[in-house]
Amino acid sequence: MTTVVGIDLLTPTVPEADHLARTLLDAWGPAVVSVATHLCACTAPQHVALSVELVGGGQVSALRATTGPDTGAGGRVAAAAHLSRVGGRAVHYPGIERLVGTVTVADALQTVDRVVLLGGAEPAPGTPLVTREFVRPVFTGGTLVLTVDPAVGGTVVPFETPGPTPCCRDHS
Amino acid sequence: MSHDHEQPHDHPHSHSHEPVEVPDAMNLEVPDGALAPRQLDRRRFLQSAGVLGAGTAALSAFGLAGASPALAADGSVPRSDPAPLGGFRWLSGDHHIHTQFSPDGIYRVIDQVQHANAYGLDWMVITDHGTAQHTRIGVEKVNPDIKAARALIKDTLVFQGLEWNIPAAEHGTVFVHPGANEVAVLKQFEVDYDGSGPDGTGARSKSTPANEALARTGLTYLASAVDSKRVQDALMFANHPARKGIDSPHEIRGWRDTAPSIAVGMEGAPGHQAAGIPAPIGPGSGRGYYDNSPGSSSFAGYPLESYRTYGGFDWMTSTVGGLWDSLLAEGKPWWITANSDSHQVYAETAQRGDQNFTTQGFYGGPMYDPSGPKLDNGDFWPGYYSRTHVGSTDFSYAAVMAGLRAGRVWVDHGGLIGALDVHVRAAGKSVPLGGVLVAPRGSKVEVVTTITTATRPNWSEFVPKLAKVDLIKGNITGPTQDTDNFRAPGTRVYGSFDARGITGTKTVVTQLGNLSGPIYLRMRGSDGARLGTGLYGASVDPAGPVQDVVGDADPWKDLWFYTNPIFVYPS
Repeated sequence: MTTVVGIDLLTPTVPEADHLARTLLDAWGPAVVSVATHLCACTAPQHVALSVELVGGGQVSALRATTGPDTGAGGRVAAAAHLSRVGGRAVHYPGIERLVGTVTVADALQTVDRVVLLGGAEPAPGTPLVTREFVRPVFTGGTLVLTVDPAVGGTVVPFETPGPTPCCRDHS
Repeated sequence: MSHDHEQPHDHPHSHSHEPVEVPDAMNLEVPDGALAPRQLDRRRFLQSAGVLGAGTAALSAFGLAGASPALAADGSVPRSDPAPLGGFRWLSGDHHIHTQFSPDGIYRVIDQVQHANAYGLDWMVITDHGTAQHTRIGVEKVNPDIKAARALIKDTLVFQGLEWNIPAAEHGTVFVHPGANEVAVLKQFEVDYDGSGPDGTGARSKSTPANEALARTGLTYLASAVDSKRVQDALMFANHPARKGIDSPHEIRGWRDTAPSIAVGMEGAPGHQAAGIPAPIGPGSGRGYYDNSPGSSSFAGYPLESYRTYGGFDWMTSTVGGLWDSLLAEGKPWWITANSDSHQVYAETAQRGDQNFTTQGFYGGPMYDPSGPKLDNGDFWPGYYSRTHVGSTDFSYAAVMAGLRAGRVWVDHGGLIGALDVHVRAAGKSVPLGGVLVAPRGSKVEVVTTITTATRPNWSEFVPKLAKVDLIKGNITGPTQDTDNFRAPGTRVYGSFDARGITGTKTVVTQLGNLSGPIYLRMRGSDGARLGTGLYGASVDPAGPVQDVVGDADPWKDLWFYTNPIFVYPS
């Protein structure tokens, strides 16, 4: 039995939410089954909430003590979406440790429920998936779905680029 | 060909034309009181449809009547010295260019201007980022450099503008007609309305209703600066609109509807077109640096597909039946452009001068770098790859701005074609790109497309080969109730013609049948290198641009041109 807890600290951006998730994983390790981020448009300004799935339920109050009190209203929405697997971008999930280096789409399907190409097509099971050690599938319609982009040499990569180009990027 | 009404003609298009009779109802210089009742009714109809008063789409028709391209008052001729075509000189330009006054730029103004000039541009806009330094220093200090470039290089028009951090949204080009107050107006605009200000906290950049309102107020300020004649003219275009999903449909509609004479369009194709060249010979990023994913400020309704480019073009423009079409289906003007966004050029052999931007507001001028070409730079010089062609009545700042506002604009990548003129004809009348044609219901409508294929090599030293041209047709359904709509279900590729083997100038007449309701028409063409089914299926776009592969997008092997639309209404 697991429990899903929503945490809304009005985290401004997705990378900062990822950092918070990392902090939680470091603190709570094996008790954490999965963590997801949620774009929270419910209250302005837009921000990012977290949901954390924990083994059992007894740890919840201690988790709260780690993160501090919620300040935003998005936690409840995030927890509900995660619990029913209809929303949330998974930062940590069972099997994530297998998605390193280059695997096949078939390999990835041991961990996520579906792999879809941007636009909706399904890549062949043998297609190499270059993970870049940054695989963020999304809970959609009760399943965990990884959207991938075509990439160099007939490979695919997760849609989400690690360290995307910021605006006003300085190349020098 | 998907239909059999095409009538390719081998003879070159004649440049002569009949003067176009513009109905008084559409001539806003004729006051309401001077109109006959029936004409007044027509004007009211057009206004309610959002066609008149919104812009100036209607004014496009005027330029054609007896248009006789003239030289600038001082005798300057445009860089490309184009022959008149369809009644206009098509002046090539770029409204999105950075210099050493941007925190991520390196070049002097003259570096950009002399390259743009060498690569054939007739006009260009210097658009350094709105920043605390630019507001305080750069917006003033860049001006003498721009004036010096104008004096030195007379056959390229150099506008001063800025790249506006639109409050609550993406970036946009804002620029004004040269004049005594060009700096003062831009500076005041930047102080009061740039998302970077006023305190450097970025509070104005957050997606809040108040910041969205601030953006609209900024556009109103520009309109009032023109109305009060502080500046002769001002324009705004949204830049790389879908890059991060933060220009929501209602914000774009808000800009357009708040200041239809100022906010007239968006980049159909972003700059940074070298960014997708694969590593290690290129940056290996997304074409246009479109490699993002949804963030906290992104519009939640946008699909993941919107974060990528398609044939080098922004999803809003490349998707037939998508966001751009949803705007056009309202019958209101909203035009596209293509620009370099040049900051640091692919394979550059120079390096930045001093690094004192933060304190002095600009970098030192670039210096030769003996360590070799910088293959991880993702930009091209202005004019090198992306061009925005504006049908202009003469070679002047005012005429370029008027042409842009009128939507008399087509764009291309890599010099795909040499020249283009599109007119829609009905009931003995004919209007150019961006125009509005009103004809009796039941009139036969035809599109007359005159294409000159590329005859000279482009800047990658090959002569591009046009493979096909598509005619896209949509129904005008009037203003939308859902301001976040980004779907135009009535728009699809109406027909295509095979352009392989065409050389020189060809005129193709496409018959559209009898006019039964308000429609708009636009065109695009491709080198045929990468074609696939559009995002809304083969019945909408059977052979359109394909998603650019992040990290593997050679811009020279996937060339497109796009035109702006022509609107046709039954009377």
